[in-house]
Amino acid sequence: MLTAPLFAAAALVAPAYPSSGQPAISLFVLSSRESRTPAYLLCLDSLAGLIARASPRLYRVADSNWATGTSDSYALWLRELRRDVPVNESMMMASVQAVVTRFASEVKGFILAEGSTTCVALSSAEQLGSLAPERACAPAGRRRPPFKVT
Amino acid sequence: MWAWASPDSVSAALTLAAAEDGLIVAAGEALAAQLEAAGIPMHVDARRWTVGDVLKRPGVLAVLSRDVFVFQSPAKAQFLGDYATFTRAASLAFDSEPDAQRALLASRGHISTRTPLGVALGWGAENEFVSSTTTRMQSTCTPPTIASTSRRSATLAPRPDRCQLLHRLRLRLLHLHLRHRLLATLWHSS
Repeated sequence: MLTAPLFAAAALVAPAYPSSGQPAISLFVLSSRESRTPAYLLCLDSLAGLIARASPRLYRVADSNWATGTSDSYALWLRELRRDVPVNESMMMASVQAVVTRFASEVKGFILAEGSTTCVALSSAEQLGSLAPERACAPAGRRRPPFKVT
Repeated sequence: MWAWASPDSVSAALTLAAAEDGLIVAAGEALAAQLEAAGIPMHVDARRWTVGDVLKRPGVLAVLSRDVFVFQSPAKAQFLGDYATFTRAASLAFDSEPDAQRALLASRGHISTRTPLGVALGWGAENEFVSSTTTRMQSTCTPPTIASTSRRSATLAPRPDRCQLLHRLRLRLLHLHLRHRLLATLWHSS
């Protein structure tokens, strides 16, 4: 079929994936769980992608136990990476504001997106009667959802 | 589980961030206020935008990647939002905006590309309608891992490298032609 020559050709042509301008010199590691809302994670991800065009500097892991945890595959790769690239944990729990401020010279503005969220587990949780909606929607490590539930 | 109340707006913001230089995404006024307090100004209010609206902006299609496309539900944008921004890839849930999706893929036909190989990345419900070729893709990757690559010679994606990214997140390289014949579009445009 069509895919066979496509993938054969893939080995012969330039890859579709771009590279950063410079290799990573060091990586700031950020926790995904502690005090992060979906909006915060989205913002941090867009920042990480933006600054990585020049050089990767932000790396997100599940939580601060990345050095020893076994459930987070991001942490696994970071443990491999740190053999060659210094890992800086000073911003592990930093606020979005603090992280953005750190790289403010590379950010000229933000795009405002609609930020409200809907708890899609609400109806099923209610039907089951066994799962509190706030637990269903809250990121790990948070007691209550930090976002609007409609 | 949660979902964005306006997923089109999130996709539009990510796509615009991918196309522009120096822009990040702030979903919601509370976060916007924090960023403004940090001295980061609002560039545009995209709360009612779609990816189609972004593509209508002058020059956007020419700047967006014609090699990488992210078909990703915004609810799972945390898995690919950074990579979409990094690669300047448009980001939208598959089939959420058929016209915009067609325009993006058709851009390979009239704008020169770096490579004849176009790739589409996604994670989640796309598996329901798109055939996965993860195994085959992995076979085409011969990754010197970051760990074994000299720091001075390695160039990194936001996350380790493309093969590691694919392994780790089990991203799918998608057979687009199985539905909507999109792969044929990519192939013939080369």
